[in-house]
Amino acid sequence: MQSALFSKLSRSGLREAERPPANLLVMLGISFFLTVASIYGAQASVFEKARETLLDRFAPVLNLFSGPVRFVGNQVGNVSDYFAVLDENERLREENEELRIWMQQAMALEQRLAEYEMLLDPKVVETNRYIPAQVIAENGGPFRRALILSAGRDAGVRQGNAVVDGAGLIGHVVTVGRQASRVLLLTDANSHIPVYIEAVDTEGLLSGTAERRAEIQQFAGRPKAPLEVGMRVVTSGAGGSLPRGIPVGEVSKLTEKGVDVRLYASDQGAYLVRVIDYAFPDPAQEIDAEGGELGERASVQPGAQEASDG
Amino acid sequence: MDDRHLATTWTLGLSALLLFGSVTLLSVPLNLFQGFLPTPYLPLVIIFLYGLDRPSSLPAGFSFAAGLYQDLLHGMALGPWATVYLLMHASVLWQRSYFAGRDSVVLSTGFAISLVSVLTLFWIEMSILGSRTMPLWPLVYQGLITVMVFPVALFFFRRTIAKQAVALAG
Repeated sequence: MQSALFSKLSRSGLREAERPPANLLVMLGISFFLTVASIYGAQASVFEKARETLLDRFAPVLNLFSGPVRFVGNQVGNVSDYFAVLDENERLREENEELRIWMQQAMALEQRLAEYEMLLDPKVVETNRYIPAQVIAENGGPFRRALILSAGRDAGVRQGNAVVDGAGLIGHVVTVGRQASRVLLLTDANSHIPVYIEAVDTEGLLSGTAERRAEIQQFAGRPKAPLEVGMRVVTSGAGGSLPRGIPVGEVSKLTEKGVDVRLYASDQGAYLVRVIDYAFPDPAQEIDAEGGELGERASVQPGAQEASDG
Repeated sequence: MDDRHLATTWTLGLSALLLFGSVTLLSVPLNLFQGFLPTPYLPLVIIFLYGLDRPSSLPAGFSFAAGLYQDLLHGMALGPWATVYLLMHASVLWQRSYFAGRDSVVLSTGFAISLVSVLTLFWIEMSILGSRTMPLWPLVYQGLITVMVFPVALFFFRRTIAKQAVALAG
């Protein structure tokens, strides 16, 4: 009966609109125009301002949505954890054993480092500041990979800041509102991060693939040794926007064009992250720290050096 | 405000709430089945269902605004999602007379065809914007999940409309 009633309703409803209204076609034209305009000016200030404003306006709404979802997800996760508790326990035992060995090595290295520092007396200026933030939204699209964080300009977040979780680098901040910010993940096709492969002393550009992996296809120079699977990749600090040495991942596959990198940090399920507010070391600060020795070196102007050579 | 005006406002408000709510839901980290199941494209389902049964309750302007909202929320170029939503809107209005009174299997097939068409266009748009060939698999996977969700959404949508019709007749 319901379907008969519905059939009748549907047929009578045909009077409501027989064909797409003209305004739909006009809006379709505007959408096409905007898309084409975006090819040339996606980062135009007017678009960027609109993104920032929307981010700020809807951050509370996203927070409201994600709270219950997170709660339910955690409860479901807790239930499913009960079924895997034995396997998980076994895995944690093994991991604990391995970590104890690493801890002993780390303590020995820390001691050695302290001795070297005492001998050399280096003046290392700590320029990082960590800003904790929560992930309140993520991009549900198939290509764009980004997160929205609960911290913005008011908390000190700036465009270009690195974002890390417990495992390593997740991405960097691309849009900053007053109370929220957007992070472009390493796996996004538009993400390009300068990295350093420690074992072969080579720098390269890590690019996202829009899938759950990243790749290095451009190297700063020829690697000093053959690349191998398992080599550690960290940020290189080139360009001065990200600090050097943040763990990124490890080489997972050698390809014809370069290497695939398995990232340490997962692009899904991140909840608590830290934004690294990094300031490129200020030479003036270093001069002060070096007690004037570097100051004398730094005060030599390039022009003066050329003049003395001449 | 008379009853008719109130009913229209209520219907428009409900459809807008459903559409914009579903767009917002796409940004919430649902992580269904440990993240292995992507969130279905519920806005496309809602646009199709309203276009099919109650086109006057969901004007094209809503689809346009929802698309722009999604583009901005995802930090994307302005336009791709608005185009996709409007094309879905147009496709269902064009085929409305054919779909009227048809079985749910026919409607699901029609939805699947429309979805493939608009998502293909989206893939082309994103590949042009990204200056590289975007991977097809994530789009196919999310589209497949959406097609599977459609019959369930159709059932609940029609049940609600039938109840409304009975209430109005009574």
